Amino acid sequence: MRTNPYLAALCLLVGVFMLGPVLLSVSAGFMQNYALGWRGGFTLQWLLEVWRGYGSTVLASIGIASAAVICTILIGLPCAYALARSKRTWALWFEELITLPVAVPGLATALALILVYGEFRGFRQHAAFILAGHVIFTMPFMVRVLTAAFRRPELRTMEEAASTLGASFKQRFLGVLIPAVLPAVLSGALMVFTLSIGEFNLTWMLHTPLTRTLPVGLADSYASMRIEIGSAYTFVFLIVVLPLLWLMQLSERMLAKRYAH
Amino acid sequence: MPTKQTAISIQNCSKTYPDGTIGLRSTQLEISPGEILALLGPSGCGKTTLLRMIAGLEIPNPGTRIYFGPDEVTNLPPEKRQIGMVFQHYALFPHMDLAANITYGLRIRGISHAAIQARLAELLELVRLSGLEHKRPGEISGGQRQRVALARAIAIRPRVLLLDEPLTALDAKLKESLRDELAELLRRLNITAIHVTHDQQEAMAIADRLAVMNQGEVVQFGTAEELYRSPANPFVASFLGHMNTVRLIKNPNGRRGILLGGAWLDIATDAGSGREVLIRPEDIDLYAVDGDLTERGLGRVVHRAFLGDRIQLRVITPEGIELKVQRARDCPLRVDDPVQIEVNPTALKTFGGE
Repeated sequence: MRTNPYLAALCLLVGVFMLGPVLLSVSAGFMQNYALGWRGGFTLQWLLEVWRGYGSTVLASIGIASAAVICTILIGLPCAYALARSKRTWALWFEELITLPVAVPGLATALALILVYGEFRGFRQHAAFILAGHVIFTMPFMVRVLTAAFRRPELRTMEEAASTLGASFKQRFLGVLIPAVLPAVLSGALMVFTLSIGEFNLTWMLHTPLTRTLPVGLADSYASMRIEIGSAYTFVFLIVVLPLLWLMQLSERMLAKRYAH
Repeated sequence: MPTKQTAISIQNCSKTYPDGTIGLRSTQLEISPGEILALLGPSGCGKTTLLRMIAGLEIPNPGTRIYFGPDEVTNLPPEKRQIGMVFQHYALFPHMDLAANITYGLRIRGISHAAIQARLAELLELVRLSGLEHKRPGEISGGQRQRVALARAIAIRPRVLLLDEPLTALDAKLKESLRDELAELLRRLNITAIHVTHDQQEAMAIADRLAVMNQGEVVQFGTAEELYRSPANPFVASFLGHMNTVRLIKNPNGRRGILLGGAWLDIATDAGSGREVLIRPEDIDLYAVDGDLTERGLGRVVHRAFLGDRIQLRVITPEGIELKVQRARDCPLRVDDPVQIEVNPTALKTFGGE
């Protein structure tokens, strides 16, 4: 099929519109002086400075996002199964309810968390506090994807087939159902990871000077440092996050292909 | 493969859904050890509901009793019933290869690796899938999947084998060859089996006896031949093969019969007292009109369909009665040809309200 030239032009335009600012921002991180542009010369100085000042936020973010993925999977799997199999009205209400943190501003969720747990110093000052916020915020995405997967009629019959073959509930759940929804688990994990690593709203309220994540550090550098440092930070963010996302996407696609009927 | 054969006894089995819909009216069935029974009926007749209750996948109404041999299984969950079940779309586990699928029931039971491998080889041989054991369900054909599902169901040597529309997911050509293969395999397994289907050909080819179901109850139970030759009611008659329905009338002498193309046909007094006569298409003979007219009724061919192995004709009589007729494929009659109609009088049976 021939490409429509108008469509191609539109795509290019949208691409430039979306990627232009990112490229410009990233390139600013390698300039001696943004005001002079490339005439001022190329440098890695800002990048090193970012790594010295904010290197810890990279690890913190990856750690929190990974932990959020693990928590949402562990809580989400049984929760989604129960929702998918329950025929009661409260299950529908509950399903709506866990979606709330997506609609409610992160600031409000964060405030509620601080009000409830603020007294518990150890928890309040620990990265686990941010993790709790991220889990609340990302849980609906995981549960939605998994509930839809568990509701598929072929999964129901697969469960019935396992039971006629003599499998107890535990054997069915661990040996048949979870492996069968693995592609959904992976796509849920990808979503949770992406949301967690870029989450700012909630995290900004929950963080302490010792528990900073990448986006919080980014905001800090934009607010208080030279523009070149902020830009170099953007570059760090991209090179950390993009390969991780690609890797997860790739494995999701491979798994989906393997499971294809 | 010696298997201990189990009788199945279903007593007072019924099912009402929470919304009040009746899935199955009180049903009794006695299935002999080693017998293959078909539950045959249109969709929504309750056949799958009954099968699922035998499997333990559906909870029957209180009062129901289901026995496998001497053991009552009514309140046992499916995993404790020692059954094998083949599902309509097979429900194979997509993340396991064929070997893992087939041996699932054995592995769940913690049987030794060596015993599992021996049984696997035996089953692969039986369903002719040797060499494919490391493929995944997504990589094999529909017919092969059906055989995997069967092998998986019989791997544990179940007491009872349940088949829920096992051939429905296949295309027509494949269905026919697999039907005969399945029939032969089930005979060889020597296992009590219940086979749910809406396809009368399939039921007749596979089962020893058929339970024809309609609107939540078993309407007739017997061998295919019994049901075909002496159906208990018009539903069974028209569900097993095609049927022509002709209204009964009384002639001036007060005798009951039908008028077919000007010819009067008496109905024997022992043919029942219903208001309609049913005639099978193969019980009607047609002759070309060639001068020497006989006592036979007259009609005209209005439709002719060549079905390969036979020809299906529709004939209309001056009384407005339309008859479906089946003839051999060398039948020379064409549309609009006038024909003489002859009906085998012993084949007539009456049904309908008294």
